[in-house]
Amino acid sequence: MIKTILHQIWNERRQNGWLFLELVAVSVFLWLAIDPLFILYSNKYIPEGYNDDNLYYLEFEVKSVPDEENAGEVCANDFEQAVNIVRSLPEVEAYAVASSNNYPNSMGSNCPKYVVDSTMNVKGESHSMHVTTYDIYDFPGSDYFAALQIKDINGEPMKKSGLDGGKGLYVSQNFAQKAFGTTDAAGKKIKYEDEDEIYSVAGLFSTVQTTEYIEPMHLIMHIHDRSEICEYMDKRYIFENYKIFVRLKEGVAADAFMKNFQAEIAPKLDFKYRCFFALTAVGESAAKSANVFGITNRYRMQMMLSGFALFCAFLGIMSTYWVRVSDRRMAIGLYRSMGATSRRVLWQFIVEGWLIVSVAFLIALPLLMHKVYSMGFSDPLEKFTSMMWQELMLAKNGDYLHNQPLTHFVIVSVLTYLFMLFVAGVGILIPTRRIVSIQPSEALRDE
Amino acid sequence: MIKLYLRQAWTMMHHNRLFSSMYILGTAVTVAIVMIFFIILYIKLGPVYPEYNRDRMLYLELIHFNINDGNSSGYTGASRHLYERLKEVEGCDAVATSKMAGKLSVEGIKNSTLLFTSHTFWHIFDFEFVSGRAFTKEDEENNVAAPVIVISDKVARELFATVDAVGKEVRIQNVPHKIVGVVKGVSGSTPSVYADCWLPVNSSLNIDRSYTREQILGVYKLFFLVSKGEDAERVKGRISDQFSRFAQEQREGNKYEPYINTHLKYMLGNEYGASDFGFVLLLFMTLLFIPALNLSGMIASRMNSRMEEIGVRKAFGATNRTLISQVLFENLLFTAMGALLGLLMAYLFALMTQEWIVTLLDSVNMNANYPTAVTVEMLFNPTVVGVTIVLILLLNIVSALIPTLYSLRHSITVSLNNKK
Repeated sequence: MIKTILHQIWNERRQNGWLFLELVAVSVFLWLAIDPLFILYSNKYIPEGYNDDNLYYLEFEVKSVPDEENAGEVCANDFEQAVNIVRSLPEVEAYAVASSNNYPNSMGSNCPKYVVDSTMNVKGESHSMHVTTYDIYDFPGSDYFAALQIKDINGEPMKKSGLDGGKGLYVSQNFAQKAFGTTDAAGKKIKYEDEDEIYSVAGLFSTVQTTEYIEPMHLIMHIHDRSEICEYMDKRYIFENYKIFVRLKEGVAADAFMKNFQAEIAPKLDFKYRCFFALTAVGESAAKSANVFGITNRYRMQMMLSGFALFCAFLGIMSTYWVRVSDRRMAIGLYRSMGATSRRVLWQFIVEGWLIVSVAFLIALPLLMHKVYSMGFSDPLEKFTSMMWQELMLAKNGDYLHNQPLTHFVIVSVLTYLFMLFVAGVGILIPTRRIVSIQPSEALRDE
Repeated sequence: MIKLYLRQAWTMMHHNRLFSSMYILGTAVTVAIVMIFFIILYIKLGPVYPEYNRDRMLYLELIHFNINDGNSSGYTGASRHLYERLKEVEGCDAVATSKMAGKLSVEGIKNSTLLFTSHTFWHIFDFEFVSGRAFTKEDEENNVAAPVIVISDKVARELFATVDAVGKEVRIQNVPHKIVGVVKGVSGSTPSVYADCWLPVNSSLNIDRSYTREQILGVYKLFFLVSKGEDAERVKGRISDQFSRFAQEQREGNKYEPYINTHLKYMLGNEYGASDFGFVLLLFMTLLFIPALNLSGMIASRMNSRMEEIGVRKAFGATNRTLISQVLFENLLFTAMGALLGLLMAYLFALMTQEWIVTLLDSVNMNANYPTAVTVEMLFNPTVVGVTIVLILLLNIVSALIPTLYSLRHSITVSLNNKK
């Protein structure tokens, strides 16, 4: 049958030539539409490295301007009282105090420059790099790792180091690999570029996705002594500059807790200058910040564009095949009148279609390889990862499929090929089935 | 004759159902995508409630500062002092200011949005008062002793189950406010005016935090309504001059640069990160032509199968002009049906995604979490309908004219012998 089909393709080379060229163009077009979708989805399904279910933070609102002389002390004491009230609630499993935007998917970030010891493996003269940093304050019984359910590099719940009451610098697994070339980085030396004090790495936690949809950045968590709170800031604004995070115990009904909190706890959080405003779910705030930074919009936009591109390709391939098959109505009539079964005709057209699609796709592959070689894969979130973030993302993690060039190329190519086969299959099957179902004489007479 | 062409097209459509449905669907999706883009553009730039004076507006939302000998620089809004200094500008009908009230909320309504505004705000934006009136200069002057508020009809219904709430009181942080007016609610699609309640800017609840101690900087937005017939650029120059004079009174060495924008510039780009409108416009125009080419291919193959018919028509004296107009009219029926379907799809999509569709083209948008709503006024307006008609004609010409011209260049005998 293959021989007959090859003859057939050759005999109709003029029409098939146009179809072939169109398919090469569509292959390239489709591949370019599927590539950013693959990257977005691959990013979306990167493990977050923390758990925002049942995780909340407290927000306070302004009652009056703290302008009297000892207002700073009053605010600091009130904040401490708020912490004590919250931590003693029976529904709270863990709590933590951190600087305002120092949690994943927050509205801002703090990225100081660090210098690490001589094993540092970063290009550049200064051997220093920006790293997203969360400043956490060690209040009695507080545990940021437990509150956010962050894991250590073995996948076990992250524990604070036994030294210095758990205070110190903890680094993410991806940062340790980048900066020290190993995950055995506990005890390695690290310092802020603009400070003299040298720290030893107190522990390693598994990589955390700091911004939704975007590959995890390097991250350092600095657990400070609580006396350092407000060291560089005005104590009068402690309620605005720091957040109290609470994780509810497993099985606590969030709605009932919220209601109870509003009715019984909120009145206790009514201080001289600030009062309770809301208990906000961390997951909710993540969605809001992705909205504000336009990441969600970019994602939607890419979905729409790629969807539109796929639709155009679908329309193009299917209509061309449909017209080609319909044009050969008389030939189908002839095959049928010479004894070919419906199944035989169907298979002939399907194999013919498969051959043309496959060869066209094979021709498109070197063009796509050249594109990837010279321009790289697409970067749908370039705008958000450019500038400073680019530096924060220096270590593109090879564990993720989209960062393995060959695997990435193969996956996108296979997806494109399968899509083309599917569309061509539909474009061939529907009209061919219609034509083979009518009598050969009728198919011949119509022409 | 046109009736005959359309009848013929209708019969052909029934005869070739698959072709027709694919052609109509292809057109519909193209029209829908482009329409969605134009709907967004219209909501952003066109006159929509209550911003009917957008063509005469100037905005001062951002000031670039470089203070303390360069130790501190960045962008922020204006201060109330600055508003006081700029509230009278030659060539402006009114100057207003506003400031979001942050975490303040009306008692009884969770997460209501409050906006502090000057009384002139109501002269600039054409709010529709369901009952009562706007607060006036006198209300503003007496506001500390007798706080007043304007609320939206939604808030009125939620609190009092009626929009007739004038004279009633709402409490904000235990301070009772007398309702002087109830307005038809606004959508988050118009972020300059969006709120649930509007309070005078001198409210005791309006606390300016310490970092606004720099006389010029703050978190206020300033709105200027340019008088009819005035040149906006000239007025902009006057505002800049007045600003510079105020800036010179500040501490020496501090530098301030105001960004005074027309509505177009205000919406299409800001210093946080410009919107991608230009790029997207280009992209969408390109995307309009890709399916047009596809449709063109479909028409070309259909013309191929109608060669005989064309031969017969030519043999009986039809001119190329007659044949082209026949094909274009036939095609117009298909395109019009596709466009109608596309328009419906676009409206449906816009309504289903109204929470985010308006901000789809924004990159960084601090107002992205306002509940946007797409209103009937935003969807059904002459501009959008006009764009649809132009789009249909454009698609029709692009997709049908070229293949028709191509197939008509054959002689009568070639056309008649085509399938033999």
